[in-house]
Amino acid sequence: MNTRSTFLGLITAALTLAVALAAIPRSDAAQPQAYVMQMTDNWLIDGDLPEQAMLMSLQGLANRHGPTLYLEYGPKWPWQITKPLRGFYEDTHGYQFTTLETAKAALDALASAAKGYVVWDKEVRTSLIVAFTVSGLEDALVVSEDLIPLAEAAGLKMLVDLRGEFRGMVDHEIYQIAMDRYWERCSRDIVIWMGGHHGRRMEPGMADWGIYRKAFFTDLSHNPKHTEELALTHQIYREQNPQSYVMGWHSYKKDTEGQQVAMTSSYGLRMEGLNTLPNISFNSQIGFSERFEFKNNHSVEPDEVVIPEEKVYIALVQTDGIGIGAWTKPGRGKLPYSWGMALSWVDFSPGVLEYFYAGAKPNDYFIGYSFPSYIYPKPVPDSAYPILQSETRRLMKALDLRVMDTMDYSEGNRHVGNTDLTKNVVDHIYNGYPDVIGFTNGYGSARTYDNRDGRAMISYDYYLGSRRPKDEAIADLEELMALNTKRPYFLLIHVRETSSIDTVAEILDGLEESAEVVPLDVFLKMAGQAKTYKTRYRQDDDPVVRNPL
Amino acid sequence: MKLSIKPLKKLLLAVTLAGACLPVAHAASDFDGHWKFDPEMSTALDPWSTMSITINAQGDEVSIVRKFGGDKRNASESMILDMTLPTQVVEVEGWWDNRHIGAYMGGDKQQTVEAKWLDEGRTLQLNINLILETAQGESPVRVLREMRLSRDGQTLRVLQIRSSRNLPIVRVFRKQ
Repeated sequence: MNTRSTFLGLITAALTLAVALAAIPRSDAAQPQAYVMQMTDNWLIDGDLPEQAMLMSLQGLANRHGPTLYLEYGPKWPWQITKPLRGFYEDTHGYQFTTLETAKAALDALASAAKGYVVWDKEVRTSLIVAFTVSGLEDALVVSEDLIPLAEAAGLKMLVDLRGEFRGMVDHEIYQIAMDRYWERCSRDIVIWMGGHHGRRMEPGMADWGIYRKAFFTDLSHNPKHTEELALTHQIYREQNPQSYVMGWHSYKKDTEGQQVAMTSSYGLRMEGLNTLPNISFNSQIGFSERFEFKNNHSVEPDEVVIPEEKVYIALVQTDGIGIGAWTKPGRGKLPYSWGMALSWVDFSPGVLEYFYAGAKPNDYFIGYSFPSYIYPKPVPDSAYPILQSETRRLMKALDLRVMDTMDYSEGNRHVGNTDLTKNVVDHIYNGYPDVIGFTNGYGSARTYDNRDGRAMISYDYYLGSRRPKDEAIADLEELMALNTKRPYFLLIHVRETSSIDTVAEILDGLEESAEVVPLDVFLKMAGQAKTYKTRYRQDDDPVVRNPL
Repeated sequence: MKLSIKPLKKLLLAVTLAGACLPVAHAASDFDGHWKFDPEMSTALDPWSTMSITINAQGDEVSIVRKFGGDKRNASESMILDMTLPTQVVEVEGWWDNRHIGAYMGGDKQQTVEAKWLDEGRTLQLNINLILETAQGESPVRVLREMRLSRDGQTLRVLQIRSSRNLPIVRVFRKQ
C-alpha cells in the first residue's frame, strides 16, 4: 500500500468512525456518552469465549477514538469493581451509558472501528493469542470461524486467516512464527502476557488494552525446563524498552508467578497484573473529576513521634490488588485496614484510583510499593534502581502515600525458601525513599527487620488465609504472642484478599490477650520508637527455592 | 551363690522374654510404612494441602519422615531415633508445622528428643525441645507428640501439644 492510499484509508476510517460515534444517543452535548455491554462468566472455547474475545477486540479498537465501549463482568470475574466503577463514572463524571444487548448490536454500532477481521482456530488455543496481536496491528476484529457471518454482515472483510496455520505445532513454534511476522511492528513499551487459566479456558481481560496499544501477545514460559520458549521470552524482555511494561500474567500451566516476576525484575521491567484486569482501554482515558485531589487518611504527621505502651499492636494489610476481594465486601471500615495501591494506575487508570479514594472510609489507609509496579527488589540490577525509584517517588507523592510495602518471591514463597531482603536491597530502599515513614515486607511471614532513624521496616508475622478456621487463626495469633514475649510486640498481619473484614474482626475479638488494632502509619511510627524486634536481613545460608512448577 | 540354669529352663526363659517383647516388636512393625493424611478427621493443615509420615523401625532405630506438600511446594523433616537412648539430639531440615506464622527453626536446627514406646508398643511418644526463631529472637518450645496406632493397625493418630500454642493439634493418617 502506498502513502497516498494509506492516507486515504485513514481518512475513510476516521470518517466512518465519526459517523458511528455520532450515532451514540446524546441527550446533552456536554454529557459524555459511551456504550456498556455485559460479559458472562463462561470463558470456555466451546462456550462464550469466542464472542467475548471478539467484543474485547472491538473494545480495544473502538476505544482508540475515545472512551467508547465499557464492559461489565460477571460475579465470578476476579475484578469485582466493573459495576460500581461504571456507577462512579455516571455519578462523578456524568457519563451516560447505552446498553448493548447483543454482539450484533455491538457490531452495528462500532464495527467501523475495525478495518476487517482476523480468524483464529478453535482447535489451536494459542492462535487466539496470536490473533490479538494481529488485531492491534491490523485493526482487525478477532473472530472464530462461526462468527465470520456476523463480521461479514457488519461489512467487514477477512484480513488474516489463522485457521489451520498452527495445527500440530507446539507453542514455541507458533510464537516464533508470530514474532517473525509481527514483533517488529509491535510496541516496545507494553507486551501482554495472556496467561492465567489454560486448556479450553481463557480469560483475556487485558486484550482490549493490548490491542489498543498494538502490543505483542503471548503466554511464553518462564520455566527453565522449557528451553525453546524461554529463549523467546528472554528475547522479548531484552528487546523491550528499559523499564517498560509487561502486563498480564503467567500461564498457570507453564510456570509460576515467582518465576515470571523474578525474570521481569531482573530486566528492570514493570510487571502489571492480572490478565483479567478489564477495561484499561476505557479507564486510561478517564481523567480525574474536577477539583479532585488524592487525600489519604493519615493518622500521624510525618515528623510526629508516637510512643507505644507495653502491649501488643496489630496492623492489617491487604496487598493482593485493591480491585479484587474485600474492598467490595461488607465490613469495610470496621477496622483500620491498609490497602496496597496500584501506583502505575495514576498513568493508565486514573479514574479508577479516584473511585477508590472517593470511596475510602476513615479506617481505609492506602500504601505504596517499593517500585512503581510488581517488581521483586533482589533481582533488580543496581543500575535500574535510580530510574525505578524516581518513578516510584513521583507516584507515591501524587497519591499522597507515606508507607511502602515490599515483597520478594524470587528465592522462595510463604511455604519454603526465603522471602527476605538483602542488606543491599534494604540500603537501596532506605536511601531511595527518604520521605517514607516506614516499610513493610513480605506477603506470607518473612523476617527482615530494620530501624533507621525511627523509620521501621517490619515483616509480616502472620498470613491470614481465607480458608483458615477461625479457632486456628486465633490460636496462631496467640502463639505468636507467646513466642514474642517482649512488649510492645508489633504484630503485622497480611490478610488474603478473599478474607472478609467481618471475619478478621471476629478473629481479633477472640484473642485472649488484649491487643490494639491501629492504623499502619501509627503502627510503624511506634515500631520506630521501640525496637523490640531484631535487625535481620537475608542471610547467606537462608534456603533458596526458585518457585518451580 | 552362682546361678545355674539348666538348658530347658534357659529355653523357657528365652521364650518368656521373647514373649514379653513380642507386643512391642509386633506393634513397632505395624508402625512401619507410609501414612497418608486424612483431612476430614484432622486439625486444619493449611497452608499445606498434603502431608504424609513414613516410619521405618529397624531394631532399636526408628526413622520418621514427615512430608508437607501443597501447590508444588514441598518440605520434609527427617529424624532417626535410637530408642535405647533416654535423650538424643537430632538435626532436622526446618520447622514446617505452621507456615502461617513468623516462626522458623532456630538453635542450629537441632532438637532434643526423648522417645519411648508406650501402651505395649502401640504409642510412640516424642518429647521434643526445640528453639523457634521469631521477630524478637529465639524462643524455647516444648512439643509433646504422641503417635498412636489403632487396634487394626490401619490408622495412626498423631496428637501434638506445643508449649507455645493454646490448642492441641490432632492429625489422622491412614496406612497406604
